[in-house]
Amino acid sequence: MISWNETLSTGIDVIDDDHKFLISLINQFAELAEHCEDLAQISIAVGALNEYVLNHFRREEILMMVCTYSERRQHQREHKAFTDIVDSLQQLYRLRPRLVNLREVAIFLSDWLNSHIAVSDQGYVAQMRAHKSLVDTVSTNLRDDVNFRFDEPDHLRVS
Amino acid sequence: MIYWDPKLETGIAVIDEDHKTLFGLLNALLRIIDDGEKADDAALAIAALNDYATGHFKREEALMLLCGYPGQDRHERDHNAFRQGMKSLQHLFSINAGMVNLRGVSDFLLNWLQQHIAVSDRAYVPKMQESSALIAKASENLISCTSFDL
Ligand SMILES: [Fe+2]
Ligand SMILES: [Fe+2]
Ligand SMILES: [Fe+2]
Repeated sequence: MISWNETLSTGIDVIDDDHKFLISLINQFAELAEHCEDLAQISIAVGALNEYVLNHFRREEILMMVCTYSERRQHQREHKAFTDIVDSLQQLYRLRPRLVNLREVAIFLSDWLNSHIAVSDQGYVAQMRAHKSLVDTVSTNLRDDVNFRFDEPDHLRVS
Repeated sequence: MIYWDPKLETGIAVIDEDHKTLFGLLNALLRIIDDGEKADDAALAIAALNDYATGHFKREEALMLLCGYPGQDRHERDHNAFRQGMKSLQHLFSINAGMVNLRGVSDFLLNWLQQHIAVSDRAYVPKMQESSALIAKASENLISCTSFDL
């Protein structure tokens, strides 16, 4: 179980709200992994987590980009590694749920998220504060539209 | 330890050889699991099995195409679901071996292979026998070719 505390705070509202919601989704999943035998319910929880994570990473990546955060590519690579793992989890679960050790997965995902928020996400905080008004304006758009699409210039794309 | 069951034979040499090799690779994995499962060794055995299965599927699909087997699409979907799932398994296992239930994997693999060979593979045999000369000719090229591309 992850619990929200001030050391996880970035001070950027749209991001903090995302992180709180993500933590609640991952805690829900961890809870299910512990007790639940209902495969469909677990699939739904993983699906919800996956979708929210993708949207959150996108929002974060847009904000990193608008404030020209220098470690942005490295940060995006971390995001990609995580979404690849969640993707594999879903694929394997689809093939045969029994092959997945859900408890271990829940621990792994919780630890990952906790340390990503506590360490990697803290990395962009200073830069975003330095561009506060721009970040605020863009945040308003991001908040209104969870599916906000942003077409990145090719040269900035991380593969 | 599992043994090759002659009832699984299709009579198409290149395919039977592949299937026996897959059983052999599965045995290697079972041995590692029984020996208390060193994650590095298990990862290698899984990778070897996946790679060989991928090559085998390609060979089988090439032969199905050659003899105009009507069930090809469905059959390829089975292959793809397996390949995709096993690729994910390999990935999760490499990130953190504990996330994968390895004992479950060996049961799954054995069941899947037996079932797939006995039912899905069996279904294309009559069609391949009709074109046996063509199949024999094509097989020469396919043997030992793991990255065959159509
Ligand atoms: Fe984040
Ligand atoms: Fe992040
Ligand atoms: Fe097959």
